[in-house]
Amino acid sequence: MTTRSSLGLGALVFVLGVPAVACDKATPKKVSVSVLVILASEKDDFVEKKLECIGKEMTKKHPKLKGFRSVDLKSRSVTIGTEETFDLTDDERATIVIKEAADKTDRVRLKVGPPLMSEITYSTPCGKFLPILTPVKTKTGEHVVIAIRVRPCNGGK
Amino acid sequence: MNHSRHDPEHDPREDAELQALARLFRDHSPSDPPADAWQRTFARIEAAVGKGVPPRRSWPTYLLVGLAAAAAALVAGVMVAQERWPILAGTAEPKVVAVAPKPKEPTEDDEPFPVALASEVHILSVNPNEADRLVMQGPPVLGAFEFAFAEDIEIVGVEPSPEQKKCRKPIVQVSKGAPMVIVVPADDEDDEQP
Repeated sequence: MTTRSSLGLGALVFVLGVPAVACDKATPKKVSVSVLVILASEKDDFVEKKLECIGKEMTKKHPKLKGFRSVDLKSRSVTIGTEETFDLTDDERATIVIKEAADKTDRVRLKVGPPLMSEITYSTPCGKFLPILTPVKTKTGEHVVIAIRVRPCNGGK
Repeated sequence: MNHSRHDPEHDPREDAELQALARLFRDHSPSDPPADAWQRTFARIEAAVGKGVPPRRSWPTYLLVGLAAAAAALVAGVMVAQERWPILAGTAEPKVVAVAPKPKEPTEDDEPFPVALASEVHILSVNPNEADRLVMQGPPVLGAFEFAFAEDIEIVGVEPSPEQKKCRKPIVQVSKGAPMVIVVPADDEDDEQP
Protein backbone atom coordinates (compact mmCIF):
# COMPACT_ATOMS: atom_id res chain seq x y z
CA MET A 1 0.00 0.00 0.00
CA THR A 2 1.48 3.37 -0.91
CA THR A 3 1.75 6.30 1.48
CA ARG A 4 -0.84 8.22 -0.47
CA SER A 5 -3.44 5.47 -0.31
CA SER A 6 -2.89 4.87 3.39
CA LEU A 7 -3.31 8.56 4.09
CA GLY A 8 -6.52 8.55 2.11
CA LEU A 9 -7.77 5.49 3.98
CA GLY A 10 -6.97 7.12 7.31
CA ALA A 11 -8.80 10.26 6.29
CA LEU A 12 -11.79 8.18 5.30
CA VAL A 13 -11.85 6.43 8.66
CA PHE A 14 -11.55 9.75 10.44
CA VAL A 15 -14.39 11.25 8.46
CA LEU A 16 -16.64 8.28 9.14
CA GLY A 17 -15.63 7.88 12.77
CA VAL A 18 -16.08 11.42 14.07
CA PRO A 19 -19.80 11.73 13.32
CA ALA A 20 -20.43 8.35 14.94
CA VAL A 21 -18.70 9.40 18.15
CA ALA A 22 -20.39 12.76 18.08
CA CYS A 23 -23.82 11.17 17.66
CA ASP A 24 -23.09 8.74 20.45
CA LYS A 25 -22.11 11.52 22.85
CA ALA A 26 -25.01 13.73 21.78
CA THR A 27 -27.61 11.20 22.87
CA PRO A 28 -27.86 11.28 26.70
CA LYS A 29 -28.29 7.91 28.27
CA LYS A 30 -31.05 7.49 30.81
CA VAL A 31 -31.77 5.01 33.55
CA SER A 32 -35.06 4.46 35.32
CA VAL A 33 -34.80 4.98 39.08
CA SER A 34 -37.51 3.87 41.51
CA VAL A 35 -37.68 4.93 45.16
CA LEU A 36 -39.98 2.94 47.43
CA VAL A 37 -40.92 4.67 50.68
CA ILE A 38 -41.46 2.35 53.64
CA LEU A 39 -42.62 3.31 57.12
CA ALA A 40 -41.32 1.34 60.10
CA SER A 41 -43.45 1.60 63.22
CA GLU A 42 -42.57 0.99 66.85
CA LYS A 43 -46.24 0.62 67.75
CA ASP A 44 -48.10 -1.09 64.92
CA ASP A 45 -46.86 -4.64 64.34
CA PHE A 46 -48.37 -5.13 60.89
CA VAL A 47 -45.68 -6.31 58.46
CA GLU A 48 -46.31 -6.46 54.72
CA LYS A 49 -45.43 -9.85 53.33
CA LYS A 50 -42.85 -8.57 50.85
CA LEU A 51 -41.11 -6.57 53.61
CA GLU A 52 -40.71 -9.41 56.10
CA CYS A 53 -37.09 -10.19 55.24
CA ILE A 54 -35.79 -6.64 55.44
CA GLY A 55 -37.89 -6.03 58.53
CA LYS A 56 -36.07 -8.80 60.34
CA GLU A 57 -32.69 -7.38 59.34
CA MET A 58 -33.57 -3.89 60.48
CA THR A 59 -34.82 -5.04 63.86
CA LYS A 60 -31.37 -6.53 64.56
CA LYS A 61 -30.05 -3.00 64.90
CA HIS A 62 -33.37 -1.42 65.88
CA PRO A 63 -35.25 -3.91 68.07
CA LYS A 64 -38.00 -1.42 68.79
CA LEU A 65 -39.24 -1.57 65.22
CA LYS A 66 -42.26 -3.86 64.89
CA GLY A 67 -44.24 -3.09 61.77
CA PHE A 68 -43.25 -2.33 58.18
CA ARG A 69 -45.52 -1.10 55.37
CA SER A 70 -44.92 0.46 51.96
CA VAL A 71 -46.70 3.77 51.47
CA ASP A 72 -45.34 5.42 48.33
CA LEU A 73 -43.49 4.73 45.10
CA LYS A 74 -41.70 7.30 42.95
CA SER A 75 -40.23 6.51 39.58
CA ARG A 76 -38.62 8.52 36.82
CA SER A 77 -36.04 8.27 34.11
CA VAL A 78 -32.83 10.08 35.04
CA THR A 79 -29.94 11.15 32.90
CA ILE A 80 -26.55 9.67 33.71
CA GLY A 81 -24.45 12.14 35.60
CA THR A 82 -27.36 14.42 36.56
CA GLU A 83 -28.41 14.71 40.20
CA GLU A 84 -32.11 14.04 40.74
CA THR A 85 -34.09 14.90 43.88
CA PHE A 86 -36.89 12.74 45.25
CA ASP A 87 -39.23 14.27 47.85
CA LEU A 88 -39.86 11.89 50.73
CA THR A 89 -41.81 14.03 53.16
CA ASP A 90 -42.79 17.69 53.29
CA ASP A 91 -39.33 18.60 54.52
CA GLU A 92 -36.97 15.81 53.61
CA ARG A 93 -35.68 14.59 50.29
CA ALA A 94 -33.13 12.16 48.82
CA THR A 95 -30.71 12.76 45.98
CA ILE A 96 -29.57 10.20 43.44
CA VAL A 97 -26.88 10.44 40.77
CA ILE A 98 -26.20 7.69 38.26
CA LYS A 99 -22.44 7.60 37.99
CA GLU A 100 -22.11 4.92 35.36
CA ALA A 101 -24.61 3.19 33.11
CA ALA A 102 -24.98 -0.56 33.09
CA ASP A 103 -21.86 -2.44 32.10
CA LYS A 104 -21.66 -5.80 30.41
CA THR A 105 -22.67 -7.52 33.64
CA ASP A 106 -25.76 -5.29 34.03
CA ARG A 107 -24.35 -3.45 37.05
CA VAL A 108 -24.96 0.25 37.61
CA ARG A 109 -22.93 2.58 39.80
CA LEU A 110 -24.84 5.31 41.61
CA LYS A 111 -24.54 7.70 44.52
CA VAL A 112 -27.41 8.07 46.97
CA GLY A 113 -27.79 10.96 49.40
CA PRO A 114 -30.44 9.93 51.99
CA PRO A 115 -31.79 12.69 54.23
CA LEU A 116 -29.64 13.41 57.29
CA MET A 117 -27.13 10.74 56.23
CA SER A 118 -23.81 10.48 54.45
CA GLU A 119 -23.80 9.92 50.74
CA ILE A 120 -23.29 6.32 49.72
CA THR A 121 -21.74 5.30 46.41
CA TYR A 122 -22.26 1.70 45.40
CA SER A 123 -22.72 -0.56 42.43
CA THR A 124 -25.74 -2.77 42.12
CA PRO A 125 -27.32 -5.13 39.64
CA CYS A 126 -30.35 -3.84 37.80
CA GLY A 127 -33.81 -4.57 39.09
CA LYS A 128 -33.06 -5.08 42.82
CA PHE A 129 -34.01 -2.84 45.73
CA LEU A 130 -31.49 -1.69 48.36
CA PRO A 131 -33.28 -0.49 51.52
CA ILE A 132 -31.85 2.32 53.66
CA LEU A 133 -33.23 3.11 57.11
CA THR A 134 -32.95 6.88 57.49
CA PRO A 135 -33.02 8.98 60.67
CA VAL A 136 -36.16 10.72 59.42
CA LYS A 137 -39.40 10.24 61.33
CA THR A 138 -42.91 11.22 60.37
CA LYS A 139 -45.25 13.27 62.51
CA THR A 140 -46.70 10.03 63.83
CA GLY A 141 -43.28 8.77 64.91
CA GLU A 142 -42.76 6.24 62.13
CA HIS A 143 -39.23 5.77 60.75
CA VAL A 144 -38.75 6.46 57.04
CA VAL A 145 -37.05 3.74 55.01
CA ILE A 146 -36.21 4.21 51.35
CA ALA A 147 -35.49 1.35 48.95
CA ILE A 148 -33.77 2.25 45.67
CA ARG A 149 -33.83 0.33 42.40
CA VAL A 150 -32.41 1.11 38.98
CA ARG A 151 -33.51 -0.32 35.63
CA PRO A 152 -33.48 -1.10 32.75
CA CYS A 153 -29.91 -1.67 31.84
CA ASN A 154 -27.71 -2.16 28.79
CA GLY A 155 -27.72 1.28 27.28
CA GLY A 156 -30.45 2.90 29.33
CA LYS A 157 -33.24 2.45 26.78
CA MET B 1 -167.59 -52.67 -41.34
CA ASN B 2 -168.81 -52.55 -37.77
CA HIS B 3 -171.79 -50.59 -36.92
CA SER B 4 -172.93 -49.99 -33.37
CA ARG B 5 -176.32 -51.23 -32.30
CA HIS B 6 -177.82 -47.84 -32.20
CA ASP B 7 -176.67 -47.18 -35.68
CA PRO B 8 -179.62 -47.31 -38.11
CA GLU B 9 -177.55 -49.34 -40.52
CA HIS B 10 -176.68 -51.93 -37.80
CA ASP B 11 -177.29 -55.54 -39.01
CA PRO B 12 -178.30 -58.04 -36.34
CA ARG B 13 -176.79 -60.87 -38.35
CA GLU B 14 -173.32 -59.53 -37.52
CA ASP B 15 -173.99 -59.95 -33.86
CA ALA B 16 -174.92 -63.53 -34.40
CA GLU B 17 -171.76 -64.20 -36.30
CA LEU B 18 -169.63 -62.69 -33.61
CA GLN B 19 -171.37 -64.68 -30.99
CA ALA B 20 -170.83 -67.84 -33.01
CA LEU B 21 -167.16 -67.10 -33.30
CA ALA B 22 -166.83 -66.52 -29.60
CA ARG B 23 -168.67 -69.79 -28.98
CA LEU B 24 -166.29 -71.63 -31.24
CA PHE B 25 -163.23 -70.14 -29.58
CA ARG B 26 -164.45 -71.06 -26.15
CA ASP B 27 -165.28 -74.57 -27.20
CA HIS B 28 -162.00 -75.06 -28.96
CA SER B 29 -159.59 -72.95 -26.95
CA PRO B 30 -155.91 -74.06 -26.97
CA SER B 31 -154.67 -75.89 -23.93
CA ASP B 32 -152.63 -74.06 -21.23
CA PRO B 33 -148.93 -74.61 -21.28
CA PRO B 34 -147.58 -77.19 -18.86
CA ALA B 35 -146.32 -76.16 -15.41
CA ASP B 36 -142.64 -76.59 -16.20
CA ALA B 37 -143.10 -74.32 -19.17
CA TRP B 38 -144.58 -71.75 -16.83
CA GLN B 39 -141.61 -72.26 -14.48
CA ARG B 40 -139.11 -71.74 -17.22
CA THR B 41 -140.92 -68.68 -18.35
CA PHE B 42 -141.08 -67.25 -14.87
CA ALA B 43 -137.33 -67.95 -14.39
CA ARG B 44 -136.48 -66.10 -17.57
CA ILE B 45 -138.65 -63.21 -16.52
CA GLU B 46 -136.92 -62.94 -13.15
CA ALA B 47 -133.48 -63.13 -14.67
CA ALA B 48 -134.38 -60.48 -17.16
CA VAL B 49 -135.79 -58.24 -14.46
CA GLY B 50 -132.43 -58.50 -12.51
CA LYS B 51 -130.30 -57.24 -15.40
CA GLY B 52 -132.60 -55.60 -17.57
CA VAL B 53 -133.05 -52.11 -16.00
CA PRO B 54 -129.58 -50.63 -15.27
CA PRO B 55 -129.29 -49.22 -11.65
CA ARG B 56 -128.72 -45.56 -11.11
CA ARG B 57 -124.97 -44.89 -11.90
CA SER B 58 -122.66 -43.82 -8.76
CA TRP B 59 -119.19 -42.30 -8.78
CA PRO B 60 -116.35 -44.86 -9.04
CA THR B 61 -114.28 -45.31 -5.91
CA TYR B 62 -111.00 -44.53 -7.58
CA LEU B 63 -112.41 -41.28 -8.84
CA LEU B 64 -113.49 -40.28 -5.33
CA VAL B 65 -110.11 -41.14 -3.88
CA GLY B 66 -108.39 -39.16 -6.58
CA LEU B 67 -110.53 -36.12 -6.00
CA ALA B 68 -109.97 -36.30 -2.27
CA ALA B 69 -106.22 -36.53 -2.74
CA ALA B 70 -106.23 -33.61 -5.12
CA ALA B 71 -108.20 -31.51 -2.66
CA ALA B 72 -105.80 -32.41 0.18
CA ALA B 73 -102.82 -31.55 -1.97
CA LEU B 74 -104.32 -28.24 -2.87
CA VAL B 75 -104.96 -27.34 0.78
CA ALA B 76 -101.46 -28.40 1.80
CA GLY B 77 -99.94 -26.36 -0.98
CA VAL B 78 -101.81 -23.28 0.09
CA MET B 79 -100.67 -23.71 3.71
CA VAL B 80 -97.03 -24.15 2.72
CA ALA B 81 -97.17 -21.14 0.46
CA GLN B 82 -98.59 -19.02 3.26
CA GLU B 83 -95.79 -20.17 5.53
CA ARG B 84 -93.04 -19.29 3.10
CA TRP B 85 -94.54 -16.15 1.74
CA PRO B 86 -96.45 -14.48 4.55
CA ILE B 87 -97.64 -11.87 2.19
CA LEU B 88 -100.05 -14.44 0.79
CA ALA B 89 -101.56 -14.84 4.24
CA GLY B 90 -101.63 -11.16 4.80
CA THR B 91 -99.32 -11.49 7.82
CA ALA B 92 -96.13 -10.12 6.23
CA GLU B 93 -94.52 -7.17 7.94
CA PRO B 94 -93.98 -4.12 5.88
CA LYS B 95 -90.61 -4.18 4.21
CA VAL B 96 -88.20 -1.58 5.51
CA VAL B 97 -85.47 -0.45 3.26
CA ALA B 98 -82.41 0.87 5.05
CA VAL B 99 -79.70 2.80 3.40
CA ALA B 100 -76.20 1.82 4.54
CA PRO B 101 -74.32 4.82 5.87
CA LYS B 102 -71.49 6.04 3.80
CA PRO B 103 -68.17 4.91 5.34
CA LYS B 104 -66.40 7.75 7.07
CA GLU B 105 -63.10 8.91 5.80
CA PRO B 106 -60.38 8.17 8.40
CA THR B 107 -59.44 11.30 10.28
CA GLU B 108 -56.84 12.15 12.86
CA ASP B 109 -59.35 11.30 15.62
CA ASP B 110 -59.50 7.72 14.41
CA GLU B 111 -55.84 7.08 15.01
CA PRO B 112 -55.13 4.77 17.97
CA PHE B 113 -54.05 6.54 21.10
CA PRO B 114 -50.30 6.23 21.62
CA VAL B 115 -49.08 4.68 24.85
CA ALA B 116 -46.53 6.69 26.78
CA LEU B 117 -43.05 5.32 27.23
CA ALA B 118 -42.00 4.63 30.79
CA SER B 119 -39.04 6.94 30.20
CA GLU B 120 -41.41 9.78 29.37
CA VAL B 121 -43.45 9.57 32.56
CA HIS B 122 -42.33 10.87 35.95
CA ILE B 123 -44.32 9.18 38.68
CA LEU B 124 -44.26 11.61 41.56
CA SER B 125 -46.27 9.43 43.89
CA VAL B 126 -48.33 6.24 43.64
CA ASN B 127 -49.54 3.63 46.07
CA PRO B 128 -47.09 0.73 45.70
CA ASN B 129 -49.95 -1.76 45.84
CA GLU B 130 -51.55 -0.14 42.80
CA ALA B 131 -48.46 0.88 40.87
CA ASP B 132 -48.74 -1.92 38.34
CA ARG B 133 -52.16 -0.66 37.25
CA LEU B 134 -50.37 2.10 35.37
CA VAL B 135 -50.01 1.09 31.73
CA MET B 136 -46.99 2.33 29.84
CA GLN B 137 -44.69 1.01 27.21
CA GLY B 138 -42.07 -1.02 28.98
CA PRO B 139 -41.98 -3.14 32.13
CA PRO B 140 -44.54 -2.65 34.94
CA VAL B 141 -43.90 0.26 37.29
CA LEU B 142 -43.21 -1.98 40.29
CA GLY B 143 -43.22 -5.46 38.77
CA ALA B 144 -41.22 -8.22 40.43
CA PHE B 145 -40.24 -7.17 43.96
CA GLU B 146 -36.67 -8.27 44.67
CA PHE B 147 -34.13 -7.15 47.24
CA ALA B 148 -30.37 -7.13 46.71
CA PHE B 149 -28.20 -9.46 48.77
CA ALA B 150 -24.74 -8.83 50.14
CA GLU B 151 -23.06 -10.50 47.16
CA ASP B 152 -24.95 -8.15 44.81
CA ILE B 153 -23.87 -4.83 46.33
CA GLU B 154 -20.41 -3.33 46.22
CA ILE B 155 -20.00 -0.31 48.48
CA VAL B 156 -17.60 2.03 46.69
CA GLY B 157 -17.52 4.88 49.17
CA VAL B 158 -19.25 6.76 51.99
CA GLU B 159 -18.76 10.50 52.38
CA PRO B 160 -20.52 13.26 54.22
CA SER B 161 -23.06 15.23 52.28
CA PRO B 162 -21.75 18.70 51.43
CA GLU B 163 -25.25 20.16 51.80
CA GLN B 164 -26.07 18.73 55.20
CA LYS B 165 -24.48 20.04 58.37
CA LYS B 166 -25.34 17.00 60.43
CA CYS B 167 -25.33 13.61 58.82
CA ARG B 168 -25.14 10.17 60.30
CA LYS B 169 -22.79 7.48 59.11
CA PRO B 170 -24.62 4.47 57.76
CA ILE B 171 -24.07 0.90 58.87
CA VAL B 172 -24.27 -1.94 56.42
CA GLN B 173 -26.23 -4.82 57.90
CA VAL B 174 -25.29 -8.12 56.29
CA SER B 175 -26.63 -11.52 57.22
CA LYS B 176 -26.15 -14.80 55.44
CA GLY B 177 -29.11 -15.65 53.28
CA ALA B 178 -30.83 -12.32 53.92
CA PRO B 179 -31.10 -9.09 51.95
CA MET B 180 -28.58 -6.37 52.65
CA VAL B 181 -29.90 -3.30 54.46
CA ILE B 182 -28.21 0.00 55.27
CA VAL B 183 -29.24 1.48 58.58
CA VAL B 184 -28.31 4.33 60.82
CA PRO B 185 -27.27 3.48 64.33
CA ALA B 186 -29.90 3.54 66.99
CA ASP B 187 -30.57 6.86 68.71
CA ASP B 188 -28.50 5.94 71.74
CA GLU B 189 -25.39 5.34 69.67
CA ASP B 190 -23.12 8.25 68.75
CA ASP B 191 -22.17 8.14 65.13
CA GLU B 192 -22.42 11.62 63.74
CA GLN B 193 -19.95 12.50 61.09
CA PRO B 194 -18.29 15.91 61.20
